Amino acid sequence: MEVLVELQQVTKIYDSGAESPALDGVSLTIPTGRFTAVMGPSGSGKSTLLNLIAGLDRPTRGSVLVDGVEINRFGEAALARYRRARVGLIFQFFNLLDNLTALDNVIIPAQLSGVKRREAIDRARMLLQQLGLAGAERSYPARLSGGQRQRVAVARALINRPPLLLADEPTGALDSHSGEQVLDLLRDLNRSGQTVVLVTHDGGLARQYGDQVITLEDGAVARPGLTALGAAQ
Amino acid sequence: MTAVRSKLLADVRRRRLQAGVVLFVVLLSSAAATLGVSLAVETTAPYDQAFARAHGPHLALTFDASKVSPMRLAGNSGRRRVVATSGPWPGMSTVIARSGPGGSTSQLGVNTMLVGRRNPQTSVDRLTIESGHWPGSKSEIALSQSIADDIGAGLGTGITLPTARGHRLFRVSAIAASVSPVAGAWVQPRVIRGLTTRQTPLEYLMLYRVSPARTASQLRAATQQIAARLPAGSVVGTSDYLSVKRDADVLTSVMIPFLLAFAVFALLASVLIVTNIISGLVLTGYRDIGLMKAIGFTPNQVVAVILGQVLGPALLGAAAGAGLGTLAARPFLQNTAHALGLPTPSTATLPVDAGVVGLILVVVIVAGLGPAWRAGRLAAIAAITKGQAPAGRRASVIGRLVGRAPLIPPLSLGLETALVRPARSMMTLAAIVVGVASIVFALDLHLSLGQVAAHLDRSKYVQLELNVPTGPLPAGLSKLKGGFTPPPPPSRTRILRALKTTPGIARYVSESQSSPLVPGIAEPVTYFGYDRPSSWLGYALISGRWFRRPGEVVAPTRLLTQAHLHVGSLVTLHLHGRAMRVRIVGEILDQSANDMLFRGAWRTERRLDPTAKLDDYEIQVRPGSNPSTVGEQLGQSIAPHGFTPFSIDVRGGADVGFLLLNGIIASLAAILIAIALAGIFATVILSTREKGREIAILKAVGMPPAQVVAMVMTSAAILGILAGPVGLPIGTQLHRQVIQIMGQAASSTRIPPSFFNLIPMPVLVSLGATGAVLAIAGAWLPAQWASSAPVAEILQAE
Repeated sequence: MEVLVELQQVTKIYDSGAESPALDGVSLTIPTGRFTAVMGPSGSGKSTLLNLIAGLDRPTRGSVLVDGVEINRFGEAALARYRRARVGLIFQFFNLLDNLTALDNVIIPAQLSGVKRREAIDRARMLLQQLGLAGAERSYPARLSGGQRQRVAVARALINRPPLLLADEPTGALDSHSGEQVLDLLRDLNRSGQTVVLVTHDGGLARQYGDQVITLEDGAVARPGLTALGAAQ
Repeated sequence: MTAVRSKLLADVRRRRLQAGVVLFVVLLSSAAATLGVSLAVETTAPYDQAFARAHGPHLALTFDASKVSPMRLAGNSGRRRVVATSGPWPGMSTVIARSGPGGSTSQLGVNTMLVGRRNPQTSVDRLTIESGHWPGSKSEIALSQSIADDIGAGLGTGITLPTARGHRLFRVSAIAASVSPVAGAWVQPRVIRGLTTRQTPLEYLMLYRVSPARTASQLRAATQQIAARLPAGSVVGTSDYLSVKRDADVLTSVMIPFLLAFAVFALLASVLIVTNIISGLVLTGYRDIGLMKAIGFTPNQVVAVILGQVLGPALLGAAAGAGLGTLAARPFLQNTAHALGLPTPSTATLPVDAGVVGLILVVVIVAGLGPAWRAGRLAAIAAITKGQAPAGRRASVIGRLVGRAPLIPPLSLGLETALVRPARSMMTLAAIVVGVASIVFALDLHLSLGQVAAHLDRSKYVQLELNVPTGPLPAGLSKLKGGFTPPPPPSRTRILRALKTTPGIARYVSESQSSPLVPGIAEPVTYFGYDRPSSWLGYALISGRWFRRPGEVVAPTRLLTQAHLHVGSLVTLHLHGRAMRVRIVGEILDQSANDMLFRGAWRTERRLDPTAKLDDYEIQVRPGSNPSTVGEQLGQSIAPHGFTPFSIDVRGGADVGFLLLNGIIASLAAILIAIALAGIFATVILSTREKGREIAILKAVGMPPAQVVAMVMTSAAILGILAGPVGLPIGTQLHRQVIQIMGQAASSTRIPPSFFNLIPMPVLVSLGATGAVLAIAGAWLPAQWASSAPVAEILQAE
């Protein structure tokens, strides 16, 4: 199976005086087209791992390769290009821009990539419609429910058709019903070929949706492996 | 340690940058205010202060030594109006020149009075030794600063004085300052007798303090009383302190208006910036404010914590700024004293410093109290909710329109950022407007003062002045002891021939003077008559035109105002029983003769005063010619063989007073620009901190650092672009008002229209862009910081 993301002996230390690193010599691979769930307790290094793959942070040691390219050697501008072209990010607290409408929030990455506004709007409208937000495109985030906000965030993550979708506790700020809807959406996307990495502290969700589960404990991989779902695939 | 103090210190540590900006802005404002106030206080009546310190003379009289003895002069000092005296000291008129190689002397020297004084400390007119030591030997001489400047001499310079047998060499041992400008050089008394000649006989100088001495008529009465018991004709020269004081006060009176303008600018900018910073502290600190109230802080304690974060740095900044301002004022005060020929005043300005620090703190409290008070009154839970929840606000209508504009995201988002907080944007805009207006004001003022200096000094137009005394020799000089007859002055024919043949002379005009009376003015005014076209002399026209024919005159504003005349008026001049009607055809900028003068044709003057003599010549040298060389050659042409009574003065050199004004203007403008930059810096820092999460999101979805920088810069640049067109007219209008006030204060003159609008249009248009330049410069660092802020850390902090 083709590998999309590979971490080689990645260590991340936030504070030189810290007793233990956030990630400690982590090596793992994420295959193309898989739904990978990264799980572990609070403080285990899940979000750090996601940030390193997203190019939001740099490892203290080791390499992060995406499509065989070592992204930790990129400069800031190259990382920005990588993020907008190769990665879609979904956050726990949505991280929408409060003073932009849902539609304007979605089109921002496309515009940053140089897509014409008209074309970006057309693409965003289609996504919002697919995600059940057709009537909310002129609404500001404050007027939307948590589930709606997260779906806007998903639309924003998908606007540039990235090969890799990273979701950091996407249900953490949602009620169970909205959370389930968002995860179903991610699974549907994965079924259509989208590589998804989901970070969650909920082992049940990880096993339910992920076809590969990576368990982190104290900054190290405790149990890499395929779930029953993954094995069946 | 109380809870308030603990929280306050923790907040100051956490917000070191804001504290630093407050400290910096207040330091600059305080320095500008201290500089301005120190100059204003110390230069308010600088002559009065120097006069009091030196126990200066109200009257300086010179006496003919052949008519009155020193014993008699000393015995005459007990007159009723006389309260103190110094002298009599031996003295003489002389020409001081720098010595050349081998002790040779230059033909171009400076006329002044040389006085023999044993020591500089006398009961009246205590001299200040600016440098060196008082002359002790026969070959040492002390010079006044102005004489030293005129001949380019310093300590140790060799100078020559004429004697009956040639010249005598001296070394400059001291530069001294006197509040009385009568004497320009001093030697030991025993030296004087060896220097006197038949042409420059011995005189005695006597200095008097009299009472009353407030008005010119009181001083005249005192002079008459002193002279009454002395032989007729023994007083050969009088000088009173009022005329000197008037000249000295001119520089002061022109400085006050623009010092005030700059001080107001500085304080205004500080208020805007401090208000902006405190508002920012409140906006970004809602959660903190809510938590403080939740755990028991009272509203007043909350106000104290917020205000204290600004007051602490402000106190440090104000104190440091006051110290810096005092230090910066020192060279300016020295230069002011230098320009006025007065001793350097002290800069011990503790009351000024304390006053400025107090005022700045009051300004800071007033600026910060509003937002801090509002924060103190916030309900705890409302503040916490407001601080934790996403802003949830909708963009303004303008913001939405900008968002839809066909601009790339960094620009549209930057524009939107500038508009999202209108009050903060307005305050930032105002700070940039202050910066732009300061630049325009300072440049305009510099150019206008350059014009004023050029037209008052006129060294651009007239480089040489030739004076040939054509009247009868002073009594007693026509036939001297030993049967010596002084040589006659050069004939006009010889002078005109010399003027025509000397290479390097472009044009010249002869000038005469008389003193007619004008209806409505008590004292005689001065009439300057010219025998040739004279419009090139450099007197700037305020209105009307230069005179063209006999019967036409031009006059300065002050005379026209006092005599209730205007351009086009007819006025009758009276002299020795004759009357002459003249028409005023022009109003000019002219500070000669106490601004009470006419300039017109010599033929007009001759009809009024048939004895008027053309004994002055104003000479313009050709471009590229050296005025000193041309002057030397002209002197040789007029008198190729030895002594003939005439003098040639070389005009030129930048006026110290105007250089000083330019220096002060440049310094204060630089301070205001720095304040404006700090204001922009502070606002952009607040804005980027407040929008830190949004910037992190944009970076997370792929905005590269350069676009983050562009976005932040755009948010500031748009304000700078708007500030340009606002600041330009404010700067030019303020300049127009201030320069007119300066003109009125200096000599009740209007300012020629040609002295305004001196900035060329392309330069003025480009000055409009300085707002954007200031904004971009001020936003540069915060933009860089914003572009390199860690994304993951900020987003995880949610």
